[in-house]
Amino acid sequence: MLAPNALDTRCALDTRCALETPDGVELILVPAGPVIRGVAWGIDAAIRGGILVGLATVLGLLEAVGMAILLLAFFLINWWYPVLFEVLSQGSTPGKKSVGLRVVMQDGAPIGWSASIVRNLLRQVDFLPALYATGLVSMMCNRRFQRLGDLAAATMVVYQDRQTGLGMNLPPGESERPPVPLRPAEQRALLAFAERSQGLNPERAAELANLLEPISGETGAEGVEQALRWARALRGENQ
Amino acid sequence: MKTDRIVMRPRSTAEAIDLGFALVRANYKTMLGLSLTWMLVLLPAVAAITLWLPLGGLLLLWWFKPLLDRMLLQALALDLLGQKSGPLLTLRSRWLGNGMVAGLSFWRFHPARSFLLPVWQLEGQRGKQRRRRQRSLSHGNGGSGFGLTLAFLGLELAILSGWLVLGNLLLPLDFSWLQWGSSLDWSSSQGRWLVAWFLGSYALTVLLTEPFYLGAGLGLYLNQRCRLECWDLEPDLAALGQRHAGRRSLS
Repeated sequence: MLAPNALDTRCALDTRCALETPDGVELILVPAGPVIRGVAWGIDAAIRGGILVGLATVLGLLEAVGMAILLLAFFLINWWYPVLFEVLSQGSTPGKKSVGLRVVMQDGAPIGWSASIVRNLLRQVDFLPALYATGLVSMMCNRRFQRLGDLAAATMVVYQDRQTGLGMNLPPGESERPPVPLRPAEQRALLAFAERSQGLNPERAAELANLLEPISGETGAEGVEQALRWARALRGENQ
Repeated sequence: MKTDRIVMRPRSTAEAIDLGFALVRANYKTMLGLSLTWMLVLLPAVAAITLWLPLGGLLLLWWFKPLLDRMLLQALALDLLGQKSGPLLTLRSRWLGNGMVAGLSFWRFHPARSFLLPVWQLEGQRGKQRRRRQRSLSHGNGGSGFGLTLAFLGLELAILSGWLVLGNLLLPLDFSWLQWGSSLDWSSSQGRWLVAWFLGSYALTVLLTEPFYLGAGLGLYLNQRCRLECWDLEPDLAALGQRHAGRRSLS
């Protein structure tokens, strides 16, 4: 919304980050912050630790040779686990996948070998001086929540597209065209209200339906029913 | 609620936390000003208690974090409502009261402190009504307020140990007392330096993390109001009703 006051020309804050691809398509990515990424990291750390403990138990039987193989495995798992998964598994290590995250390039392209290697090498810098303190501060300073490794590799961690579980279906019933012509934005608001009214507590749904009383002439639960009938007509159901 | 400051929409829990972060980042200068004010106010008490109990200053800072949270939340609320919200303007507005004493005593230990602070401070219900409100607003959020507190315990620990390790590397401090069985004389000059270093590290950590903890809690709160109360749709529906208020009488 544009306002004359210079202070208010700032745009509204959102978690979404819209990118325009070269072919003019708008791509919406949602960068993920430190809390959820910490959870993903914890899951990955547990998996890696589990593998190493398992290997150590088995290889312990082989004594010196086993030790050599274990050190090699330690190196491989520590350095290549994130890189291999990120490049070969659509940007997600198992930890990231389980909480619904993936790594992409800043421009939305899939992550490649060099970017993944850079971002995971610089993990060591982000870890300094202890427990990712540098990385955390860097993420807090950055609109896209990039740690130093992400900045160097021009990558970011985003949420995978998921159905939010909202706005699916209207309950079946009669439909009726709204008595007044509605603008597209108003239609969207009405549809969203009708869909979400099912999950609201009935008192609150009625309260919101009362806002539409000038059009519907109905209040309370009847008002909600009326909004549902209009929404079905807007959807083109039962016609 | 009508606000042009943020885009309201039902989000996932993690995304709601991220929105809180974005809001804090946009207000960080104010947050910093308020945090420094809070530290200046507590400084004499911290200094006094340190003479008596070497690490009591840490406890004091920790205990009085809700005081800082209140200032920070007030600033963010002013910003959301489209008012100017510098540190001074925030301090001059009404941020004391509304459960201040409870906030510094039994609510200090509430596991979902930052998620519920907007209810305590801004909604201002009392007694049974407040408890009911608290319960209904927490409905279906899977204990994310508590999860947030746990997550920030981890974040704080990470940043704090960052400062401490940095001190270990860069300052001529002796950490051998950490070894099992050795002890430290806090009143020696070495001990005093250590106390100062701990206090400084903790203060810097609070400066960096507390605004984000509070902001993330506010993000969760706003998200619950969108999910459970359709707060994001309310202005649109009201405008829709208003625009057609005159028309129906014609038809």
